[in-house]
Amino acid sequence: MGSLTSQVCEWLEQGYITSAQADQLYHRLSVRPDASRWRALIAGLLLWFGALSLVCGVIFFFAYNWQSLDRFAKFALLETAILLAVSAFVWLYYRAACQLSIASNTPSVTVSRSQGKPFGTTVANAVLLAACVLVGGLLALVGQTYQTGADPWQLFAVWALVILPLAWIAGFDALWLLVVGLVNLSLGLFFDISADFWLPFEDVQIQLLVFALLNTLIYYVFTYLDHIKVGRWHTPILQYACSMFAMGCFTWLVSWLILNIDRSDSFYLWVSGIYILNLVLGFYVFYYLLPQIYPLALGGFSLIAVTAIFLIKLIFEDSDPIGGFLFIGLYILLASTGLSLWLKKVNQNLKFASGAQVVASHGKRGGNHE
Amino acid sequence: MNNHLPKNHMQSTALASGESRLISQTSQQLWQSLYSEGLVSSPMLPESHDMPWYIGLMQAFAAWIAAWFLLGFMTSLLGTIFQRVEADVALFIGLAYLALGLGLYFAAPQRTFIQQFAFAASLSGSLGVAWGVFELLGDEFNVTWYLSMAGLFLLLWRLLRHGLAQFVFAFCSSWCVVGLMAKLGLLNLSPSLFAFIISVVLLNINRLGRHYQRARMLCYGFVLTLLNIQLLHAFSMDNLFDELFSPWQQSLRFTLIHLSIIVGICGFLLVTIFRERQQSLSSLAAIGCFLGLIVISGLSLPMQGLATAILLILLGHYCNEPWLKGMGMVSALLFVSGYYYSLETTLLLKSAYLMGLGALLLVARVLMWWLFPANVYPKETV
Repeated sequence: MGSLTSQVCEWLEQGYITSAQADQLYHRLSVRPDASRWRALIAGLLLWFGALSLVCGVIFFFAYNWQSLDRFAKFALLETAILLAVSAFVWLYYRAACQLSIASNTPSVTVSRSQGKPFGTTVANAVLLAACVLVGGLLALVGQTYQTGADPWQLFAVWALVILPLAWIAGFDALWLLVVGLVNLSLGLFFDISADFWLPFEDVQIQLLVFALLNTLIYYVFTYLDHIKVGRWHTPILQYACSMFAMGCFTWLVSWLILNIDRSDSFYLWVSGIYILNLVLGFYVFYYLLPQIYPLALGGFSLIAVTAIFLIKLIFEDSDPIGGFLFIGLYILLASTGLSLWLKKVNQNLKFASGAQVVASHGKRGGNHE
Repeated sequence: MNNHLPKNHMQSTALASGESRLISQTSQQLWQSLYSEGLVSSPMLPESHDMPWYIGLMQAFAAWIAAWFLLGFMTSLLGTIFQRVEADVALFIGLAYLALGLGLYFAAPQRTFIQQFAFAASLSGSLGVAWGVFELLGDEFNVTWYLSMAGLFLLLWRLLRHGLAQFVFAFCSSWCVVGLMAKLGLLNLSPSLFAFIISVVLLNINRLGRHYQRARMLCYGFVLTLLNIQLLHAFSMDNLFDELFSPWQQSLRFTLIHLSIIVGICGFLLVTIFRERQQSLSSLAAIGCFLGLIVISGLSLPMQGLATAILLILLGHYCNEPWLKGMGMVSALLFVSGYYYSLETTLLLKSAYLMGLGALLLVARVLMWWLFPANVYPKETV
């Protein structure tokens, strides 16, 4: 709807329609939500906020470390809560599956695929998310009770490991995001103490490289899985987050190395090589194999940032020319505009291709009916 | 139908966008319906300049960085000539860039590079003017500074037709309003003021014709500021305000004023919705909604900002603005998380509140299943 009203604005700005006609179109486009949409919104809000508030309340309760409650009682409480949540998940999951199978066996009832799917934002998965958060609470309670600490890296790593199969069963974006977030967190905490193990991770630049590579890998894996099995691995938020974090780490690292090369040249060369390889691979994959605009935009703007930093280093290293500011400013504007125009064109081609696909499939279906 | 552009121009544009015939079925359908009603003269859909939101965001960031370089260029150039850049020189730089930016906008509004350059020049100009006025007023952010900058940003928001620029300048002007209210000792009322403006504009947005996009960008700029202010308070980061403005001094009186304004707007919205649906205000659904509103208002006393988030969700849903709805949902989660840092109660009490709230919401969900089962027939009325 938003893009349609923007389209109307554009037609008005370009003079194709008058202001009064635009007003009429806005009214026509802004159809107020009907009862079923209001019901869906309120039901969703009650479910998600209810589940998350309840779970946060439980976590707050254990964080308070109430001394009047025996430690076994605490464990029993938390484990019962997890058990109840998992049981509720199993019941809801199979109930939804049974309803789907009954509906699909009844010829008079038509059920859309999205209504009966066990993956994504479902009631069962809301309960499972609550159970996964409670697992973290249980692990923190173990740390609190046996004085192993409430935030060592092992805790988050074990938490991620325990909920990994649950995320796989649910196929739910928020759960995958929790798993990947925990993996990154435990890795970060591990880096903090890695000096004790004589590992080379105390250097922030190496840490950035590890984060960039790990998140790039996760991004590629999920993009590929989503492509081969549509709907089962659909995790748009995770993909947005991972790719942005990975590219952010890469850009920061390369810019840092350009501005301050105090390391050995081989490390600088290795990182630059990996960065360029990542960009080239990204371009090949997301332009030719699995066309997508977002990763292309991320890579392009990252390259503009890195090149601008390189130009700053080149121009201002030994002198302070006045025209340097203008040159870099104009470079950023020109490059970002050029990239935007190219991305816009790619976007239009993609939409054109998908539109043509829809028309072809409609035609095929029409032919079959005939 | 008064088409401002000649027919052959429209046809050439449409032909140029030959491939875009299939780009969007819905805009194509809309255009076709306009054509069949005789409101437009060409059956061909004009070329669209629509692009994904993240490209706009990245472009804005690039323009912001470029603006600093443009300002740096003029400053170093005039600094070389006058030895030191004084207030009047900074003001001159700002005004020169503003004139350049505005001139370019009006000279070639449809060229992408010109638009981006004009946006960066306008940003540079605003920075230059802000710097010049700051020094002219004796190195102080006083009422005059906030007033003049708010005026400048609102003028730019009003003059420019570029959606991204409108959003950025609306956002900047809203922070100047916050500063102004802080100087006048009314900082606590700023969330209420923003919530009121956002609601009034959004509920009347379909009557704004040519100003639709501008008003929409104003709303989003103000929403971002409103959420920023309330989140800073929810996460006990008010010391930022202490350094920038006068002390925050959040008192129960102001909280109650804000809450009553939000409840008033939500109540008005609910009454409007039920009247539009021709449903009685004494029906079970209406009573349930109003009871829910009262509960949320009560909870907003300990959990600051929750009522604002609910208002944004309702407004976003009612006005078909998914971004607004999403911002409301994410901020509601953040407000509840910020409750963890509240120093007014113990963690035990907070946990009791949250568990109670969670149980209440889930019970309400179950009751909803029973009382208002999902209707397979579309004619259902809640």
